[in-house]
Amino acid sequence: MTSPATPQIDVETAVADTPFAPLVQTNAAIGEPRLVRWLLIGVTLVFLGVFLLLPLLAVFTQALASGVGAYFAAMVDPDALSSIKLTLLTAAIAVPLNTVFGVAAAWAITKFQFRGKGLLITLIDLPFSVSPVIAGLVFILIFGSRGWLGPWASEHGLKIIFAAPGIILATVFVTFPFVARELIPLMQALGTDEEYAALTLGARGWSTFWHVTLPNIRWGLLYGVLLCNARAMGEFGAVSVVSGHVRGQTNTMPLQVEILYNDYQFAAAFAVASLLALLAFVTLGLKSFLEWRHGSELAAVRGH
Amino acid sequence: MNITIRGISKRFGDFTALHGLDLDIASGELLALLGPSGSGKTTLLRAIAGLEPIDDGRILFGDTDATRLSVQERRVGFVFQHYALFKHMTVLDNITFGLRMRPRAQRPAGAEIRRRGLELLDLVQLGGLEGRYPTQLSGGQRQRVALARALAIQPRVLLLDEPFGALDAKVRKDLRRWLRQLHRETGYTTIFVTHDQEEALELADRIVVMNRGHIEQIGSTDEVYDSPGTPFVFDFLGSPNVLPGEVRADGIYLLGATAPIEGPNGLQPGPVDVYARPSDFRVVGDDAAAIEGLVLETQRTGVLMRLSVKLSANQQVLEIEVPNPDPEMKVWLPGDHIRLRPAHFSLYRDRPAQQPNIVEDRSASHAAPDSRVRGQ
Repeated sequence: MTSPATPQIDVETAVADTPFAPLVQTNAAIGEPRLVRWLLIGVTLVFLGVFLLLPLLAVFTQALASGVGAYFAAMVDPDALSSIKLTLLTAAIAVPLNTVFGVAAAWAITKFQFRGKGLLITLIDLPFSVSPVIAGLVFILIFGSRGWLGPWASEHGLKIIFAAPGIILATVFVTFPFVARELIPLMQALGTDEEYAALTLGARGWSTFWHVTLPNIRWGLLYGVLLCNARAMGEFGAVSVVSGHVRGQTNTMPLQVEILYNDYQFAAAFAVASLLALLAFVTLGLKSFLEWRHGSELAAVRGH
Repeated sequence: MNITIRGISKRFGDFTALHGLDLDIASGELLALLGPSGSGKTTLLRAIAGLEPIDDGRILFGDTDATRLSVQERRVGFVFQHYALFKHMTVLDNITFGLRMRPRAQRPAGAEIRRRGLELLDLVQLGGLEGRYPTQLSGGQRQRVALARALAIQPRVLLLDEPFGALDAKVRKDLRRWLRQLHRETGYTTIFVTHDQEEALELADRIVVMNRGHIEQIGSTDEVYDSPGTPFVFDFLGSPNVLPGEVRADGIYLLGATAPIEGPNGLQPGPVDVYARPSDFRVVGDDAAAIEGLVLETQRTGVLMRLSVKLSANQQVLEIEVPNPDPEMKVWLPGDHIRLRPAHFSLYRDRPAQQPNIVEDRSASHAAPDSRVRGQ
């Protein structure tokens, strides 16, 4: 790969030739001056510290301010437990739904040509551009007691608004674009050749998706699912509008945090908040773990 | 398997990619679809594979009408321009994909699939690389994996889209030779698409020259090169010089010449275009049929000397090639006077190309598409 004529730095050979050569060589011709480098690193660190690390630290110190006993007491409080259950239930329904929808939408948009494709892409982005509060109001307009479908729903004994179904609907709406948005550019970049190749080799549509498309998009899909999950658990605005704030029944974790905070129960509020943060850590940790376990495959797929 | 194509058309919106083409491909043949980009050659290839639905016409594989068959049912081996290897699978898994995708009843056992995969890997001279991933292979190796993968399903026909387009010149040469040999050994009916005339001439048995969704000429490599059917074909297979000429009762007069050059008899009198390749000109002495010019520039290219010659009659600049060194040890310098006569040429009327091109004596003294004439 390296010809003697090009002034290219080949770390591998440099290391092999001289045992004490530095592992990382910098090329002065393309590098930045030392001052600029430290400045960039410094700005990044300060920013991360102030906007990420400090708030997280604050959450945990506040949560534990009244002692570990109070922390765990706040967790097993029936209202808190109910909010945890509702949050997990919401995510457990919204995330799979939007995963299936996201894959289907990305597939349709990237693999087929049809009229109205631009409109579909715009529609997928709609939940991102609409304020979550409005998203919540939309569902009240549809399913509320004076809404279009509200009377019909109550006739059939369905309680949607101010109940778990409404919360789930609002969450599905808000988290709707995450998977599709992650997959569309990825699948556009991948093109359709591999799928066509699979077809010529005799694979049916489903096998092609399962054996060729899915392995190619799995990391993007995972990332989209994790983002979708984080938002599904953390959504406040839309859920707040449709929930009705019935304690112990229709409060999700973010709503529970707000209620506790407004009641001046700071330790309890931050305890629930810390749990929410921990859930986020678990998802991130899971992603890192999967990337670490399947690192070589990942490199093989991305290296192309 | 022989393939019969009858009147197939394909439109993309307002653009017509294929205008009712007819083509017969013999079993075991190695056929090149040659043409510039946008000529419809890749569309035709994909239509044969079933990857591009056609608007009109029929495609027959042997006696079976394949027009309505799905891609899977056609069982064609398709090698994509950028290979389209499955990046997340090892080389062996790539090659055996077609076998593994068969319905359970027709699927060989696991060990048999592996054996067949390794056998194909040996056939494409990549034995020992079965555990690698495509990204760990060179371009030429990927190309051969793609070929092995296509061969694994024992295709009715092997289709290759620009098979050497993404490779560097040296690898390309080696692969061409190797592919020709592989074709001889396996005997699959093979169709490949290329825009490189040299590649088509070197590799194919027969060449289909395409232009704007039409077939310009079908013929063996010799026929296409020696007797280009249309100015387009001539133009595409080498960079010709086009000389104005006139057919008179006693022969063909080049512009400014006072004697005719020999040509086919029975041509309609009138102006013609005389097409000749740079290597087709001979330097002559005092010859009334020759054209005269001034050497503008000279350039050595190994065994040939390339000359730019400005004609005295119409100031047109010709690019010609003469042997280097000249048999009479003549050294050409800019400013020298030179007299030239085309030894081989083709005659066409009404440039730019009209369908069909006109050389009226086709049936008279020459075998069918032979409008190419040998002078001197």
